[in-house]
Amino acid sequence: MESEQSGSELSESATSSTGEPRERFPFAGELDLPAELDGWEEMYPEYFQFELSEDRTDYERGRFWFWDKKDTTEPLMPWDMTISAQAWQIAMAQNPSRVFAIPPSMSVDIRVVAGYAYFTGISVEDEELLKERAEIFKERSEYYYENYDALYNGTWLPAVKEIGREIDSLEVPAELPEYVPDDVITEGKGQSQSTLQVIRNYNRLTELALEGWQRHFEFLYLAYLAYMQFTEISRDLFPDISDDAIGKMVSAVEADVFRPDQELNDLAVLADELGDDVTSVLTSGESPDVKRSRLEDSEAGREFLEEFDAVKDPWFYMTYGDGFHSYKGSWIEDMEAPFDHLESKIERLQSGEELGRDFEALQSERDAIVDEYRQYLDAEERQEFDHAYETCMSVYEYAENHQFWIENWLHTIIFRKMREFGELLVNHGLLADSEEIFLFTRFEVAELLEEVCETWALGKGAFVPTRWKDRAADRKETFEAAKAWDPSPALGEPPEEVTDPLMQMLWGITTEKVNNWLDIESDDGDSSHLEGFGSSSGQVQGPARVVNDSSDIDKLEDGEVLVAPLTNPAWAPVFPRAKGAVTDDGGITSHAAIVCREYGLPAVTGTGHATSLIETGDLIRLDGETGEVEILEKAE
Amino acid sequence: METMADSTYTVHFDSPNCTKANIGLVGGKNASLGELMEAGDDVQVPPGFAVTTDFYEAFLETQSLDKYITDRIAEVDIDDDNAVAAASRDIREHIESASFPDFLAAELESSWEQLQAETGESDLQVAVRSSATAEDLPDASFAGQQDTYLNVTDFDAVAQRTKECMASLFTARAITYREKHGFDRDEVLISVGIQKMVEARSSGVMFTVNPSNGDRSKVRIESNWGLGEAVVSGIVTPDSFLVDKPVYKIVDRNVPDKDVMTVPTDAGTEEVEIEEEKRDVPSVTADELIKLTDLAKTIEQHYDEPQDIEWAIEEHSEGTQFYVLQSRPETAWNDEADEANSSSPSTTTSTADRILDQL
Repeated sequence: MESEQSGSELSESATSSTGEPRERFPFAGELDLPAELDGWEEMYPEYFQFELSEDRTDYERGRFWFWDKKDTTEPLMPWDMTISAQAWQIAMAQNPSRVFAIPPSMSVDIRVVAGYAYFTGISVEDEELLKERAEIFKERSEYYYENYDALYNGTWLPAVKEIGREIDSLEVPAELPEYVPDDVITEGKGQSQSTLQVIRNYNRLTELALEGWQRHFEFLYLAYLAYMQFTEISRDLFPDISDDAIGKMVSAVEADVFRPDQELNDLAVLADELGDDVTSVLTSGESPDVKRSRLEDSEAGREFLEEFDAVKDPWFYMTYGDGFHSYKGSWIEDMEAPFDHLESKIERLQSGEELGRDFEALQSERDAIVDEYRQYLDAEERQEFDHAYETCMSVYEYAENHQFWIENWLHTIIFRKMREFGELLVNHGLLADSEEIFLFTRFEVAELLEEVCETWALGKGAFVPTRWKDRAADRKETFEAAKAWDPSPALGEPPEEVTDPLMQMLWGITTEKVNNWLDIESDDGDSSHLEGFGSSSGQVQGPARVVNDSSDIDKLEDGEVLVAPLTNPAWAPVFPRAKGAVTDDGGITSHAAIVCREYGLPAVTGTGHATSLIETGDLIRLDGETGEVEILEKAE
Repeated sequence: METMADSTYTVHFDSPNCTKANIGLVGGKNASLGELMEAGDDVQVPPGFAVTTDFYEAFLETQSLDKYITDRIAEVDIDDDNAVAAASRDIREHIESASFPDFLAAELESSWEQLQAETGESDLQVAVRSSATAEDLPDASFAGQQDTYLNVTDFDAVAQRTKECMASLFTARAITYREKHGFDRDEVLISVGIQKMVEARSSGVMFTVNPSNGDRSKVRIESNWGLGEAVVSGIVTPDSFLVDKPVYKIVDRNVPDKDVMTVPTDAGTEEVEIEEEKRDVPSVTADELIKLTDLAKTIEQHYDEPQDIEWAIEEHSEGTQFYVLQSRPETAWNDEADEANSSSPSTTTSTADRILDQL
């Protein structure tokens, strides 16, 4: 990472209310991007660009924008951006603005710089409007809370599965036919069904992808709000209660996002039971393909494969990375990860270790703590507490479940289908590689496919332009430059106080954190001490392993402390190796925090810049209760 | 413990006879110590035994003291304070100078020796306290002055202090009160507690509720070096910890410079300066706070209401010993809770309402 490139010069802005000049982050237009990023703007839709016109620049400069590091730790490819960020811009924004009318949080506006998303929260100040929204919110959210089970299990999950199934079933020809089939003539089907099918199915794919993203946000804020009201009532009834204690009360959640790891545990146990025929192959260090074919050779091996194949859909539709990046791939396409995990799980089993989190023990520990807190309440308080707790526990699982079903399962299917369109473009000579399709926005891909149809229609030997290939090659370079660029954590003038509850809960953006960023930018910060959220209790120390890219998670060794922008549910199988975890991002309710709590991994989340301050090999100590991280000794 | 169990003249604190049901035998204070031991295996009071009301009555009867007392009081004009004071003086002198009959002296000595054996301390120091049978009544003045003698070291002194405690039932004020309210003499009896003095490294007080806001999920632990008197009397600002009971997390701590501590002397106790290097050091460790929290929870659960507990930690070469010295209901927040309970419960607000309150 070349961190000197931009964002480092601080500006003094207009004066604050106290008359003192306040530090601010650069405006987007002041960013000094490296030359290799020239022309990045054309890769993303115009509406995501900063400072397009004077009126828009005024609006943008009047607001505080923070880098959505949670979702765009790495830049998003153009196509991925026009699905994900597009969905955020509409589906995420509309949920609080037009669907549930969450009174103070109107919406979130989005801009993009070189593939990184910047968000700004738009809040509601007007008293009349707040009142109007409160009425709507009360009625609508209550309906959702009261009917969560029916809405989630009865409607949401079947709908999402149907979206995936339909995308999967969309037919994409590998190549358009030399001549249209006979039935176009004999059944009078019109003259170019083949091209219509390509266009129709691509349109349908994008429609369905966006629909999936609408579903993504359906319960999300409500789930976090349910958590928040439980936190608040706990703080109210038990003043001074720690975040960590509240976290313990909502732990041991049976969320789908943990299922892939559980399924792998079950498979490892099965392999162990089936004996040496299976375990010797699975621990052979061979490639997944070789392992599979060797397993086919024995009865026990075939039994194992049968079970493996029975659970792989949906549970191994687990993306490498956070699910937003098409180029990261998914377990189902690259079986390296599940087979590696199986290998180490079998080894652990054979050395007498128990696999997985002891779910029942975690649950009974949690229940005992909850019971004890309840005991200290009078009847009326207990009733209030129970109601808040039950709501939280029934709805909160959504915060984890949706991540499996949308970011992992559905995205795997969407990206896989897109690669089929990519193949078509390669076969017709417009692109050199099917992956290149992701270098174009969703609208450009429609043009690309249109052009495939055109060149096909022009007949055998028609002229095929190279400009898409050339553009893809240019964009590939720009995108690599974007990956190497280190974005400014924020843009514009920070608010004196961050008050938006959703900003705090989902992105962990707090007043201290923003000030902390400013300190780091101006080199005022203490470079051996970090503070974040004490997200999962325990104090540990050990050598750090910085994992910026999720494909490096394999490098984590026994007894190391994992340091990452965020922890990822797909990493769960390697958690037993880690002593603890420190993340740049994520509040107490973040996935990062939840995953660590579920696996009993002491963790400090949302430190802001652990991955830039800590290097692999540094001896660090973390306290999962106070949220403190100390660099004890720098690596050589 | 055979001999103690066989007679009702002395009763060990951990005996099933030393409980509230037997206040008539062991008196309120001793019963409450026995009761504390019932709270759980970990709850240890400093070892000791009760010299029972049976002992007291047998003493009075065999030495004809009861007759003397009855006659001496009968001849006094109860409205004449000077006459009552003179009678009180006479009666107390009689009791204090009488000898225990042999069988009682033997019983007391055997219990004393057993306590020495149990504590493993030949130079055992005990506290001798009176423990009246009706001290729970709203006006306790009828029960005498409730003497306490600290650092009592040998058997003769134990026997003498025991008599003095028994005599303390006959203060002038107590005699007047009982006569005016028509108590029979055998309605108010006295037992005496003989209990090992704790050689406390640290001690203090804990409330099983946060005393500043009534939050029952917390325990407030206050601690100082030495004996607990300096904390109880407020002459030192103690270390103070707020522990979240269900998760044992210290959520608030204050370790000020502590300048004074209470230590035992031959005559009782005294306040001495704390050595410079110990002043800003926490007088309890994190592990000890966890153990104290456990004790607080066990005791609170046993009594089913918030408690105010005195505790002490002894440190020996073979480890640390936790002692609970006393536990009383924590009155301020108990009353509050009773009031809250009697008010009619309001309807539970909806999730949406609660979220709206917080946004």
